[in-house]
Amino acid sequence: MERYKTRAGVVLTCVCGEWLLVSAAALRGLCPFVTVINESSAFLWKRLQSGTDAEELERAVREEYEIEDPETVRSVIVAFLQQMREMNYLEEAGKETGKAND
Amino acid sequence: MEKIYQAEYAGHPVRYVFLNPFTRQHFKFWLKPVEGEEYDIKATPEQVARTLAHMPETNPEYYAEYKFLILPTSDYLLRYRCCLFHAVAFLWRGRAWLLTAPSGTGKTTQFLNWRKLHPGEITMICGDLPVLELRDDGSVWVHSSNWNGKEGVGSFQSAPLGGTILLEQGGVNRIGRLNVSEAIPALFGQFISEYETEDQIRAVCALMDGMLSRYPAWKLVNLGDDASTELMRSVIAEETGGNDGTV
Repeated sequence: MERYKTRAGVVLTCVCGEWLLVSAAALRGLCPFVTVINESSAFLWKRLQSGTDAEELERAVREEYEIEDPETVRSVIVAFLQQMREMNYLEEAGKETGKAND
Repeated sequence: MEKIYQAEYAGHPVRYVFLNPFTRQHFKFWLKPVEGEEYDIKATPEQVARTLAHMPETNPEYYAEYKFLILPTSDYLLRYRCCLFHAVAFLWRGRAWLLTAPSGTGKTTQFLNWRKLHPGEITMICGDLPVLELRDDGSVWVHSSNWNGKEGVGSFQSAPLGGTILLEQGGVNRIGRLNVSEAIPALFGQFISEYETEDQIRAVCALMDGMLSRYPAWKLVNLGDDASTELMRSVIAEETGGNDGTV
């Protein structure tokens, strides 16, 4: 699995319970200015910000949402990463090797 | 030595150096000369030229400087949890009400309709860019500024926020509460900021959170006629008791 990190200049914030990703001016044209995301995406974003690798991300999701099925956990993570990648909110942080979800 | 002039927004001083001496006239009574060499905001000739390039040809350079200063002023005020906000702000029954919308959508028309229909009931606080302030107790206050739009109507008043009305032109008159997910994208563009830094983004979001968590917001689809203004006034009065906008 490729490794990603959150793009510098994208800020996770909360307004009246709504989670938002807001891009700084330098990213105009590259990322959307404001995107509303759900709570689980905000959880994953915070984990990515702190440098979590794929295994840790899976473990964190399993614990936070009490999901036992590893395929379900992976699908949630893959969908989140794909959505964030498509909006250029993530930067590649190199390749992981030997991880369970490669 | 450069001459330094100071304005105060929501009680916070901002010191300017002007490239063009005629720029000061647009600030009217808001400026006073101050001693010293330190200042907070000064445009560069390139920045003024870029602003001028986006304005109608008849506008002079000093007006471009005046318009350019809006953004750095607002971003400077964010450190005090204050921000310029694109709206007509008026005082009604002890509270400030914000009519907000993109330019040319009828903010001033709604204000003028109300004043005509109910003479003496409302007072203009600021015609274009009032200062919003998030206070330590979570309340939001609305203050005047020198940026009063093409009509140039404003005052030196401040008041706690009553509520926000987002205007949209339409073929019917209709008003309803604006929920948070609708309000956020609509209001983002009304806060004046370059959004250059994380601190600026967080300060704007904190202000928006204060606005939407404690005060009501409506969306008024309207024809710009007297009936639309009466509809807005009656709904605000009914839903807030007229003198207390908090929710």
